[in-house]
Amino acid sequence: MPYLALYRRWRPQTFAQVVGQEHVVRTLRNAISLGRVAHAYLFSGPRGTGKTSIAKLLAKALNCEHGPTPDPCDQCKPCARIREGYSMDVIEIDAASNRGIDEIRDLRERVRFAPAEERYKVYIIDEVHMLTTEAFNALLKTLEEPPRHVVFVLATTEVYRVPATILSRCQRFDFRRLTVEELAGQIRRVLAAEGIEADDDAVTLISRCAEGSLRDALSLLEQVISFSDGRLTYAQVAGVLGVVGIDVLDEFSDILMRHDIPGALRLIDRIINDGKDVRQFFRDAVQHARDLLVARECRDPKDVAHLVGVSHSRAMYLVEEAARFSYERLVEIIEQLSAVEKDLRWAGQSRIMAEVAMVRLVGTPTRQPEQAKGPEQAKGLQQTRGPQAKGPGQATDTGQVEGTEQARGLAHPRAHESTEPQAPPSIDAAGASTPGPAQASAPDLLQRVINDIKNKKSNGRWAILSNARIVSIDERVVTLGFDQSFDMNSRLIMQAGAREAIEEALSAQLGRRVSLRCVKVDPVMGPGNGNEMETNGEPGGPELRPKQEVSASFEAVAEPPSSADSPAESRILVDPLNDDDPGDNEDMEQPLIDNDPDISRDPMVRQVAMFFGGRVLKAVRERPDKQG
Amino acid sequence: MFRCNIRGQQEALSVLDRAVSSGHIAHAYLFIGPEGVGKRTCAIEFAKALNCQEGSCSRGCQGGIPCGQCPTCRAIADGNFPDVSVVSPSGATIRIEQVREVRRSAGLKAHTSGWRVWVFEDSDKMTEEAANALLRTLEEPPPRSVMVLTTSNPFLVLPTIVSRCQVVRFGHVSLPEINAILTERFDLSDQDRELFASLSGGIPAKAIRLARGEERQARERALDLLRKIGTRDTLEILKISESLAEDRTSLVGYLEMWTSWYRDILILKETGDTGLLLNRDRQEEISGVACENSTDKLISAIQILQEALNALRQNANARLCMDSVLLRLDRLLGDPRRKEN
Repeated sequence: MPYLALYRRWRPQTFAQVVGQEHVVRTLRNAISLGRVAHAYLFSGPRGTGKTSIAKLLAKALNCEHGPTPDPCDQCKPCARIREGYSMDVIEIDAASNRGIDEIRDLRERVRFAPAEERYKVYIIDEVHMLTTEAFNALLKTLEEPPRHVVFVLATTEVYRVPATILSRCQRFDFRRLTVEELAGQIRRVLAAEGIEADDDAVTLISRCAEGSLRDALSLLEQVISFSDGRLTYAQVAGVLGVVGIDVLDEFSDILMRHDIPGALRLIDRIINDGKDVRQFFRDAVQHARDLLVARECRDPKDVAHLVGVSHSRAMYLVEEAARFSYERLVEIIEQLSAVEKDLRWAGQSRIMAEVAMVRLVGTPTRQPEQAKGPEQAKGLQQTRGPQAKGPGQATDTGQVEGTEQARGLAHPRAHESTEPQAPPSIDAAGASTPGPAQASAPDLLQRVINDIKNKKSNGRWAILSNARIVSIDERVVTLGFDQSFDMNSRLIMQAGAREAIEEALSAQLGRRVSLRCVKVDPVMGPGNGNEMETNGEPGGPELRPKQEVSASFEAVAEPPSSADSPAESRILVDPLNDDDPGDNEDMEQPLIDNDPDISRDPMVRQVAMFFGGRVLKAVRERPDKQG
Repeated sequence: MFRCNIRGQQEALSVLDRAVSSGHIAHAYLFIGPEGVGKRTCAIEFAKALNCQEGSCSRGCQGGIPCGQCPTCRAIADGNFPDVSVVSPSGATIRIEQVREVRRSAGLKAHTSGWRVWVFEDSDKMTEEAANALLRTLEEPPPRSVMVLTTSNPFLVLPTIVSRCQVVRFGHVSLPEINAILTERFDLSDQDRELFASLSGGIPAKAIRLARGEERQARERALDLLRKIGTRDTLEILKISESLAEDRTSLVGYLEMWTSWYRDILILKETGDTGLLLNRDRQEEISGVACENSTDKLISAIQILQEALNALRQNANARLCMDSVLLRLDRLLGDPRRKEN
């Protein structure tokens, strides 16, 4: 007899041998013993959960010599025929290769004939989601009212691709993924039968890698068995499956904790030199980070051991380890890792992408420091990455940056000289010219406003607001910046109704009456940072200059913001259309100077004033440190 | 026993060796590993071992160490053996017709008394229909037949396919091993050999291409062009882009070499460890440039290059793609002061 793969040899031959899926097995058995077998079943569920196997069991149960019975004997001729797959009346159709309407027409023809040797004709249509629409439709009629001697079993891994008209004609069973315990139990049974010994953690590792699929579990087991002699150990299994071992993952979390970039890069180097796939590493790392998150949130080692599927001692270690991370950091790590894992699937140079991802992940504790939640985290920032963690006032202090770098003993002390783009962006830097107590909490303010609007369900368009950031908070004006779709966003925000709602929420938060305006800001960098990005503190080139002047010049023609009860339309500060005009843009680059009498003679201002029928009330210079 | 002269893949070979020795040949194997490490070669050798008449095996199966001399071995190597066939992507994908053909021939009797072997190259390139159509045959192929699927991108293979196969992992080849391969085949100076080995990124085929001098010129040119980036000389940059975009196939090579360059700068900057560099011959230049650019800029540069590679893979217009890459890099890395001068 030829050698059969484990998962083929261990295909269940009686309902009792089925692992898991009690809900399916019990229902089917009851249906059979009560004589209420439906004419069409749909089995859906992930791969390797027993769909095809149970379909075959059903065929056996119906056709066994000992009558339709919930316990087919597996001895009689019909049972043997079905087991070996040469029964004339149990027809397995692979819908993936017979997916056209012609094949289904053929099936319809033959369905009418009485069974040749068994009691029932059982059609098992595997991978049914691959049928074409026409084929599905051609099947509908037969599926609804098949001859009495026919039972259809449709099996699929992707039930959402099966039309609703098919679904409604079938009894549907959803197969579940097997739990780690169920898989481990079956693996142990197989190992015992094969006479192979294995360590517990080796079995657990296989079960975890199988992702709930018994076929995967047995495939993996076979792989491991065919690789090793004697006892299966964790290290062996990890090696064969290409999984990164626990020690590497623990080292990784340590590296994350210490923000140790060189360590991270050496880790990648080692993984690759060990012949492992970095993509696999990132997969495992996501899983590990998830385990840590679970451990952090549950705390009780017993729960953790159960939820993560590890031993008690390992769970205790995880809990201890997890306590070193903040909740936000872990969530962020998981998000970043999964993004990397996705990108890596397509990347040709997986090593380089992995390294870059590591530098980003390990190096910058929090990409958006304004989202940092507590002082604890801010402190962590300061200790590990001096330059990024600095407050706005120090952002251009390169001297100190150098000092920090040297303290870290890097080969290139000037390396981080121009890393200020990572410094806390936009708000504070821009706000430097408009001092006020509110600016430190600018992002919080925006968040509170958004929440406020959400809670009140007012017309404030919070979804758009969440794309904005507060550029400055003045005595009477709050300026919002958009870096994308400025035209559309500002128009929507400034619409009657929306604008009032936002202004109201803002005023309530600030405790004084304020009005709203919108400006366009450069993407990614805040207005202030664009500056530093260019040449370490020198004034930037024109193209990176924040376009705040746009608003300034328009404000010049607007009515004073305090006249809150005038119609909204007349108070719109920015007409997005004008933003498209290249002539305007050029002019806007010139800073406007406080109370400059010449401002009203400026041709562009005059044009705008004419266009809107306004006059110049006040001109503000946004950044006094600029040339002009 | 199964032996073949593929270097640096002991683990993979020993899995196959055990299979042949014990007679436990799985019905389907999935060879996973980076491109150019010998997956296909190994699959063919495996087919030879299963069919070779002069080999010896303790357990009834006729496999053994492929001799490479007998008619069977030679027929398999030349692709003339009726029971061993290689299915490779026709065009961009492996189509359902190709799989149907395999299914049809699997239903027929074997021509010889040996093993039937189907090798699917780049099996991640199967269309969804093709992959689904293969599932049934893959799960229960006729006796004495093996399907060997190879892929460098296991995450794009249908999971239902993976779960039906025995996975054999091929890894990157370690540096000493590549050095050994190069020493064996070529007469190189130590310096050159080490450079090629490190540039190859653990891929013997690439090291061999480098040693043959096929990629050397392209690399010199690619690195020379890099010096022009950042000069803010738009006209010059567009000219470069035009000349590069003429040959779409080599574009990927350029972009990859540039990526490795910026990666080296980034790595050196972050670790100060020259042992991790790929472009070892340019170490001094790299450490010179490392001071000039911030980590963020380097990361952005690599991302720009990766985006371009993705775009090219999705059949983007080569010229537009290069224009955009070069101009963006120029802006990113250029010194704004230079423009004023």
